[in-house]
Parts: sequence; structure tokens; C-alpha cells
Amino acid sequence: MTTSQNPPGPSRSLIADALIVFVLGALLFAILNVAQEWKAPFREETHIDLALGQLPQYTLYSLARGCAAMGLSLVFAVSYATWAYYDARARRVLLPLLDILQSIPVLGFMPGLVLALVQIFPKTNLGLELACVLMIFTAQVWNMVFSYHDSLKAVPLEFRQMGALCGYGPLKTFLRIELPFAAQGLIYNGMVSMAGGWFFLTINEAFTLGNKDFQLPGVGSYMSVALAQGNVPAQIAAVIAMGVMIIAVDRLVWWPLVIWSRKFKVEDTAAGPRESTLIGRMVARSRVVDAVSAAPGFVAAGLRRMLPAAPAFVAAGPPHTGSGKSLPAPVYWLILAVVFAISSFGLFQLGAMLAKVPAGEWLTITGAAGMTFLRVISALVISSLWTIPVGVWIGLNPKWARALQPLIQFAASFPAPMLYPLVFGLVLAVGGTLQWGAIILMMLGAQWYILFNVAAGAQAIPADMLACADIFQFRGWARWRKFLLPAIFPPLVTGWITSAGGAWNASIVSEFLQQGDKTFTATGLGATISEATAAGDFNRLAASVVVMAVCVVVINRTFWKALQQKGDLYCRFGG
Amino acid sequence: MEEPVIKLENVSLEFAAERHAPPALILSDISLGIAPNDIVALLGPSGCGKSTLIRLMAGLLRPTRGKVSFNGREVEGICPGVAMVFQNFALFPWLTVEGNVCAPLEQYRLAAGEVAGRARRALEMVGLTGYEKVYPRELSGGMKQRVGIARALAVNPEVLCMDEPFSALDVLTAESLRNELGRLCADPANPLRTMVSVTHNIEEAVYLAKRIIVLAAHPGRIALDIPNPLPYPREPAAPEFQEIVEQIHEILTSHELPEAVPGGPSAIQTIEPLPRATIGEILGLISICDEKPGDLFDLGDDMGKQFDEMLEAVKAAELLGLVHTPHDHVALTPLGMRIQSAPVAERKAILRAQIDRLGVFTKLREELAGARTLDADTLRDRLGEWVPGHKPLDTAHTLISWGRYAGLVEWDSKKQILRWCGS
Repeated sequence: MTTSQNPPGPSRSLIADALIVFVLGALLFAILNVAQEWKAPFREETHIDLALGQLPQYTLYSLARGCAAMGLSLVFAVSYATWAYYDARARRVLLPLLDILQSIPVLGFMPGLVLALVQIFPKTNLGLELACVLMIFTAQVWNMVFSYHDSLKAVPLEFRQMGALCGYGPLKTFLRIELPFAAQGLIYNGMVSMAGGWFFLTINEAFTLGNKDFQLPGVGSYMSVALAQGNVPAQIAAVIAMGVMIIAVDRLVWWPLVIWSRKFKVEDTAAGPRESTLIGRMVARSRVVDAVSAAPGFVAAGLRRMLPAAPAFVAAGPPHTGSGKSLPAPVYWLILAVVFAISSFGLFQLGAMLAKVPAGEWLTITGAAGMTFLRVISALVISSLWTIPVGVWIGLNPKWARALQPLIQFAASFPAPMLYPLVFGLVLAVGGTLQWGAIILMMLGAQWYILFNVAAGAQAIPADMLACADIFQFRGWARWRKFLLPAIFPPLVTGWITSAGGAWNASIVSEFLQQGDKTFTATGLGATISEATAAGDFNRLAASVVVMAVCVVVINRTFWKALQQKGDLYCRFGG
Repeated sequence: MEEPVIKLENVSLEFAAERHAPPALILSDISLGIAPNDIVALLGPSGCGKSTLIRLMAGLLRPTRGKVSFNGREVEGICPGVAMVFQNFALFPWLTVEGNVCAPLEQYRLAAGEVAGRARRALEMVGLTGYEKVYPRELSGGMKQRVGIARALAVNPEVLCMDEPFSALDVLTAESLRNELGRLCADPANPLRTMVSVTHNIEEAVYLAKRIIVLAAHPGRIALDIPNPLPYPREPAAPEFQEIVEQIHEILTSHELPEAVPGGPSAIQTIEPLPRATIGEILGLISICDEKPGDLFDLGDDMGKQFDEMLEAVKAAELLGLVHTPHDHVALTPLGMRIQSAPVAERKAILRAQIDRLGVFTKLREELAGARTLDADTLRDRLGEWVPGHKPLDTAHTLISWGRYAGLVEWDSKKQILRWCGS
């Protein structure tokens, strides 16, 4: 579409208008529908109807929760990262804190959140809904914060200076420079996060806390009920509904966003975005969209009249202090004091809970952690055995990469716990137990991160290096040991770290399975957490969540960090 | 002389590269007036703070001491009468050409038609009519910089500041854009008469400027302020033009390479700063000098290097006693000739001995007599003490690269420590 001459505007089409009005109407209906559910009086026991006709509505509810969590994640990521970027003093606390927060297993937040929010909103479903949204949020948000902070750091100084010359204050710098600059990373990470957020959906929407059952209508709870009742057709229906939702969101939301965000690409190499999407074309052809997007222009024109008169050749203007603006000291210390008070109160509470855990219990928990650790390692090793060769092969064959990419992406986005019953059924059929089977269940979700990263790494190997390996006839094992493995090492480590994090998290659902009236458990930290939640034993829950967070942080800080540094030092091209 | 538009009075700027690091003096006590209709080129070696200087004029930076004023009023914040053209264009990739040109206009109360009109006229001036709706990524480097210039012209600035506007472009594109800017300067229809441009290309300065200000580095200060009376349009091949170029070359050289006391490196007692040149560059220089000894400035062309980079290599070779520089000529010393004809092993031995004798390495040997290793922070502190006025990181870079070649030191990049392995 784009040429070096003025491109003619897209022709306006009535069909596009009608379709867009229709979609907007459907969205409005969906929002009202969901709002009604949220406002509904609090139900002690939600009845999940397994009739197929109910499934679309349930799926819509789940989608609404995911979208609300995504909105929250965006706002949080932008605020947190902006604060960390502009305030050097706060940064030294905020960044390490982020590292710890993202290591806490998602379900560790659950009981506290649920009980607190149900208490705050005793009359409506809002408390429970908010709790569910926040749980999805905790699975989405962390990589988005990192991505936005990295983008802020990467904004070229000349862009900021140009912004200063354009008279941009903090708000305009955010809207016109920082946000566009970060758009690509934020959208890509949003897409990954959205997939990650679905992982615990079956639990987020239906769980037992002590003697209380909490349930919210949704595709996750539908699956849970179907599992509990052993209703296989309903299970299959839920899996299909989930799959349709993932594909729809991917095609209708993320893909158009990804294409659109290419206009924010900063590298000045390639030509303009050539690919167009159905959605993009439709938006371009609609007068409705024109009218809506013209509105801010009128407002802006009004605001412009309040600006200073044009060439005002006087030395005046907003004082510019460059980056590193800090809040005024009293405000700063006040905020710090509040944060400190809240966190010390929280830590004190936590300490009190942990103190009540007997020494023998700690020993059991540590032993369980060891078992889970072994499972995580096994899951990584077994996953690597197939993902590394396949990933390299995909990366070096761009044609296959393009063909397989949507498939792999779908597999990675699908919440693995929904498939656990099926896979575990196979494990049982060949005479296995959950002790070993849990490793396979963990792999189901975790292996994709290795595959993605290896494929991307292999794709990035410079053609010259490949030619060099061919000319000097690196073959067989030598080719892997001397060339391919080192060449993909840094992204491989990144994949391992993400996979390990995912596997630790997944242990909570894969070491403790309920099918019908049967419960299967494997010795491990994940099972300990699940059992403690189910039994409402909050002291033991706190202890095991803390142990898991410590395990993840310590392993990240020592083993993975060392590997990462080694990789950065020796295995980067063009360094 | 007319009342200057921009006036700098005793301006100094200090800047700490890191938290807690002692601030380095970037600009020292600069006083300077830019008169209306001045076309000024700021010329100088890298690290002399020339880009910093025009950012002070634009109000993007505040001086640590001294005063910057615009039309008699002290500049606080962004100076609205100054427009800026950036080295790497600084075009927002998410805005069209028109959007980029209009962006600085949106802070003023202008009718929508006026904004569009100004953008159109500015784009017309740089020959980009018809490209309004195109995104920057679809343009070549030269066209991008045209957009940068149009964006600056559109605000009707009183002074146009340009920070190495052509150095990110290839030679041919830079040449043609320079010609056009020269024509723009001479064009009576162009209301803009005052320009300050940063460059490290002497010919560019002589081609464009009515006044050439040469800066010296460590710390940045004005070394020379000379008028360039040649009438426009200027012809680089003309003898008068070449004469001025020669003249500035000579001044730059004598400033950067003062006539050395004969005696070679053995006579060096004080600690000489280490120029930022690699052993490879020094040997390349020796080999070119051997083939055709001569003018410093032809050398730059032969080496395919910018003048200031080449100067660093010459300074390094002189420090090692391989060349001497009578006036602006570079000639090999006997040692330099020997090294040129020597086999690889002997060549290395000679260089090793010369490097070993340098003041910095003598100091380092004393420092390391006990410990034998030095961590990165201590090394930086020491180098800051021994060679004041120079960036310790630059010195460390050369120190490690030369010392490693000479087998005197080893740098452990994993542990970030320097190890002594000489005697």
C-alpha cells in the first residue's frame, strides 16, 4: 500500500461500516452481560451447568477476566517501570523486588487475596471476581514490567532531546515518545502474558479453601466440574471452547496489533509494513472509525488555543532537568514510609505464620522441595532432548518456521492443566504413577519456552558462521558441540530459565490431581502447597510458598546467572 | 559588532559519568558570542565538547558555572529561538514526514492551516514535496536528514544548531547535502541567517562557515576563532579555499602535536596521556609513511580515517618514538624505519621495549609490585590520578590493548581484574 508517492486513501465501504458497528454492538452486549454477572448477589455455591449451550457464555466470562487482568497488567507495568526508571533511589529497591515477586508461585497469592476481597465485598460477586482477575494478573504482569523498563532505558537520548525541543512535558513524553517506542515490546509481551494467564484458569475459577468451595462461572470452572463428575464429552467441549477462544483472541486481537505495531519499529532498515490484516483493512475502510478518531483532533484544536503564541523568541519555557526527575523529598519519604509500614506489617504477619510451623514440618517441606527440584531438572532435560534439535531445525529452515509457528504458538498458549487428565490417563494406562507422571505433566507447559528460544537463536546465527561450519566440515557430534550448541547458548539459557520457572509453578497442579472422586498425589512441594490450600492450613501453605520462592530465587541468582554470564561473554556474535 | 543573539559568558560544564564518580570537566570557561547572520562552524577533535556546546545553546543542558543568554535574556529551559538538527536525525519512526516536521510546531498557538503551510514550505525548501505522508523508514539517510533540516526550519528559528549533520551519511550523500545547505545559506529568500554547526571535517567547515571556532580537548576550551572571508558560493578546488584549509590544518596540528623536544621516549619523565589508537593502526600509519612520507592531511585520506582519528594514531606513534612531526609533516624516525623492515618477532620486541618505557607502565609496575593484580575500579581511580584531564576508561582501553600486545599485562574480563605479567 505504501509507496514513495502519496498513497490514495483506502476506498470507503459500507460493508466495513456495518461490520464494525456490528462488532462494537456485540462488544457492548458482552460488557453489559459480564457486568451483570459481576454485580450479581454473592452466591455461596455457584451451580455450573454442564449443558453445552452454556459454554459460550462461560467462555465469554473467562475472556472478560483475562482482558480485565491484561488491562490491569498494562497500567501496572507502565506505572511501575516508569517509577523505577525516573527515580534512581526507588529503582534500587523496585528492580530486585520485581525479581522476587515474579518468583513467588502464582497460587501462593490466592488464599490471601480471596479471603481479603470476599471480606471487602460480602454482598456481590465482585470480591471473588476481583480475586480471580488479580490471580490471572499475577501470571501476566512481570515480563511486561521488564519489557517496558527495558524500552524506557533504550529510548535514544536524541529522541528525548527532540521531545524537549517540542515542548513535551512528562505526560507528552510518555504519550508521544515512550509509549510508541515501547509499543512493540509491550504488545509482544502482552501476547505471551495473555497465554501465560490462562495456565491456572481451571483453579482460578474453581477452588477449595479449607471447608469452603469457591466457584465462578467460566470455562475453567466448567472444566473443573466436568472433571469432578467424570463427564468426558463436557471435558472435550471445554477444551474445544478454550482452543477456539485462544485462536480467536490471537487472530482478532493480537495479530492485528502486532502488524500495526510495526510502524513503531525504530531500526531504519526494512521497507514499510507490507502485510495487512483483515481487521486492519476493515478499520481503514470504515467511516465510523474516521469519525471516532477525528474527535480527539477537535479537542486538540480547542486546547491549542490555550498555548503560547507562535514564534515567541524569548528565553522562556519549561525548565528541563533531563532524565532522573525525582519526586520532591517530603512526598518521597512519605510514600516510602507508607510502603515500608505496609511491607513490615506483612512481613511480621508472615513471620508469625512461619513461626507456628513445627521443625519437623520444615524438614518434610524441604524434602518435598528436593523431590520437586529433581522433577523440574528431569523435565528440563527431557524437554531439551527433543526441543533443541527440533528448535535448531526449525530455526535453520525459515519455510518450516513460518508453517509451524502458529501451531507451536497455539500449543504453547493452551493451558496445559486442561490436558492433564487426558495425559495422566495415558500414564496410568501404561502402568505409571503420578510420582513419575508429574514430570511429563510439567513438561507439557514448560517445554515450549525452550523450543521458542532455541528456534529464535538458530534463526539469528549469521549466515557467514553457517558457511564457515560447512566449509570446515563440522559434522555429527562435533557440529553440535563446537558450533550449534555454543551458537544458541544464550537464548537456550533464557529458555531454560523460563521453563524452570514454569515447571516450578506447574508442580502445584501436576503433583496433585483430582479426578472424579479419586485424588492422586506425588511427593513434592507443589503437592504440599495444593494440599495445604485444600485443607486451609495457612501456616503450612505460607511455609511451602516461601520455600518455593526461595528455591527459585536462589537457583536463578546462582546457577542460571552464572550460565547467563558465561553465555554473554563467550557465545554472542559480533561482540 | 552587533549585539550577539547567543552569548556564553564564562561557561563551564561538569558531568559525572556515574553516580559517586568525581565529575569531569567537559567545558572550561568558554566565552563566546554568536552575532546575527553569523555562520559558525565548531571544529575540534573528539571529546572536546563541541556537541555539548550547542546543546547548551539550545537549552538542552544547563551550565555548571557561567551564563548562557539569548537576545540578552538568560536561557532557562529550552530556548525557543533555537532549532536543532541531530547527527542521527532523531526522527520519530511512528510519525510521517509531515508529522515529524509539525511536531515542534504543536506547542505554539498556530492555526491548523498555518502549521500545514509552514511544514509545506519547509519541505519545499529541502526538496521533499510529495513525501508528506511517507514514514521515515522508507527514506534514505540523506532524505531523512533533509526531513531533520525541514523540521528545524519550520519553527522559523533565529538560530539553527546542527550537530554533525552529515557524519551519519555516506560520502556522496553528505557532499550533495552540504552543497544544498551552502546554497540555502546564500539564498536571499531564506530568512534564516544564523547558524552554528558542529563538525570534525575541516573542508566542511571552510565550505559552509563565515567563522570557524577551533576547540581543544581535555578540557574543552576555545583554541582559536578565525574568520573565513571567502565569498559564496565557495569552490573547494580553488587555491584560496585550499589555503584556508591548510592554515587550519596547521593550527590544529601545532595545537595537538606541539613541536617535541628531541630525544624520544627515553627522555619521557612525566606521564604522557595515551592516545586512543590500536597497535594495528600505529603499524598501518608506519607502513603508509614509509611508502610516501609527507603531509599529515593526505595521510588521513590514505588511511581512510577522519582527521581526528588519524591524529590519535600519529600522536601514539610519536609517543612510541616511531615518527616525528616537523611542522605538519610526519616522518619516520630511525626506529620507525627499523620496525617497518623488521620481521614480525623483532617488530614485536621493539614495540614491547618502547611500550615498557612509557610513564604509565612504570607507574603501573610500581603499583603492582606487591599485589600483581588490580581490580577495575582501582585501576580507573589510579589512571584518573596519573593522567588527569583524560577519561580514565579511554586510557584504560589503550593501556590494556598496548600492554597486552607487549606481554606486560593481562586483562581478565570475567573477574574484571588487571594482572601484571611483565618483569
